[in-house]
Amino acid sequence: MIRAVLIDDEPLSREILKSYLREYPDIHVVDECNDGFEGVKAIQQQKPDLIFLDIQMPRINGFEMLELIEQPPAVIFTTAFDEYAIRAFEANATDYLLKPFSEERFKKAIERFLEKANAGIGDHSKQLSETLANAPVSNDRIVVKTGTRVKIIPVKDIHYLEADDDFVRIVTDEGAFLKNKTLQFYENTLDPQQFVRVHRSYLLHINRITRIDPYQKESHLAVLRDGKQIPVSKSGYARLKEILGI
Amino acid sequence: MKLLKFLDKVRWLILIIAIAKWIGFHAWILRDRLGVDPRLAFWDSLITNLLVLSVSALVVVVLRRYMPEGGKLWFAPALSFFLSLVCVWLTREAVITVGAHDARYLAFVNNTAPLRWSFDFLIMAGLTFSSVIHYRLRDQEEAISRQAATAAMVKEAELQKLQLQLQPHFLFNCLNSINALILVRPDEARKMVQQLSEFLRITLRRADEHWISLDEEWHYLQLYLEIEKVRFGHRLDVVTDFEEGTRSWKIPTLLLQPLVENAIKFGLYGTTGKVTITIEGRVQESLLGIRVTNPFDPDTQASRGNGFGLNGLKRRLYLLFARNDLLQTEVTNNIFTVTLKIPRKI
Repeated sequence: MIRAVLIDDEPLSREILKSYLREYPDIHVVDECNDGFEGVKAIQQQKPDLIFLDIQMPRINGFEMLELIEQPPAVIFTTAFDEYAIRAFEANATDYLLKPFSEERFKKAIERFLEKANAGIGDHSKQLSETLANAPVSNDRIVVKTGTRVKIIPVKDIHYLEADDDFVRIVTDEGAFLKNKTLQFYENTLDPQQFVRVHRSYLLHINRITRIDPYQKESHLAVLRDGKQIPVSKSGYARLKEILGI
Repeated sequence: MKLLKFLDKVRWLILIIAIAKWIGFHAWILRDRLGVDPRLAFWDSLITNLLVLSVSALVVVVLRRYMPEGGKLWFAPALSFFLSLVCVWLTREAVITVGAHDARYLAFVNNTAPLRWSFDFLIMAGLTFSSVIHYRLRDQEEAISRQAATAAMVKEAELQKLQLQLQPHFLFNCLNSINALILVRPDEARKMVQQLSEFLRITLRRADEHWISLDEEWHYLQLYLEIEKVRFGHRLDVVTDFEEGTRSWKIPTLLLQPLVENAIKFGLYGTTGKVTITIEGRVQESLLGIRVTNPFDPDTQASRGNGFGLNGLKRRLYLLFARNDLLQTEVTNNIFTVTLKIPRKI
């Protein structure tokens, strides 16, 4: 038996999926979700083999939702937006259905899923989330998970990001959050006029800086508004000077 | 370039030097060529030139300040003609006082009166005329650049209008809903096809209309809202309250629509659960006030600020009415309220 979860904020969209799925008695719809938050919960509880995922949804979108899941199941995107298709395929999605889609097109997607499942390409999920890592869908916020809670961090509220083993620690007014990404990723995706790599382990939001003090030979310390001191390397100082125009 | 900038900075100094040289040259002609006493030649030149230059400057300022736009060009020489007579008389009185003891100089002054007048007139007419031309050119340049800016903004607004009307995602999502309805509730599918057709027909027709009644606009928006209700499983509730007399009020197209679309975007697309959107119309003095409220999710929308994408509308209002106070937004208890005021069509 194949367990499927439908994630779409329009009931009629789920309706058509269910109606098409009647042809496949092996595939059971175990849950239906109205948004990404519900989706995260359902995937953790139900451990489905396959999800049908809309992209534009309330609260968090489909891509952001996938980022929060450690081992995502196979994904078939269903959306009216064709501009995300390339990203979805790069993310190794099983298929990408453009609304409205025909039953024939839907069957092809299911066949594709079944082929992959039978060929035992079960572990494409890890690859999925890693490729996704290079494609943020919105760059004004970062979605993190703390325990079972999902937290949305507006980029403007970030103080700095710090490398921490395989994680990045995102420090904000409300404390620190861990995200399973590299500092390099955020250096590439956040606005370079706002975030400067001042040190191998630090990416600093420049409007948090109050002053820069010299420290030991050739290195500096950036002092933040809350008094926190961040080490600045020689090359980091050069980048900082360029951005600040000093 | 640096040299030009420097010269521009010291232009007053250059002007003063030029005037001084000219006065010196004038004095030299009087002394060396016409045999006037050196002291008198200096005073004569100084008084003559400073007087004609000051009166010219006065004329330039007066013309700049008080000449109505499109004033006649002959006005400058005509004014110069009379003022140069005054100038000659004043100069004569002044130099006679300075050179009262020198009979030969007094005779010289009297003999040269017509020459002095023509000199004053030429200088004044030349200066005032060229300044009028200069200011006229500058005004024209300003008008042209203003026109270009307005044209660019109008073009942008047109483009925005087009994009608003096309809304491909809305259309595809509707078609998807119809596709589903055909399977599950065919009657509703037919109704939605009819509503969508009427909505699209009005959308296309409206491309050339600029002012319509609130009643017509509301009919159109109702079609849109009914479609959204079907799409989102009737979790949308719209409450309207249009005061007596508001429905016949003429409003520009595409003012209310973005407000309602915005309310849908943040209120319906952005949240889960039941959503109530309210739309009210009131007449306040000579304005039609329209208030739209929608709930929003502060956790996910807070990062977008309070503008909620209404800047385009603000600029359009400015283009239409040259006013910046017609759109107000307010956020209280996760309810976003926007108030739009529309002046009466003149």
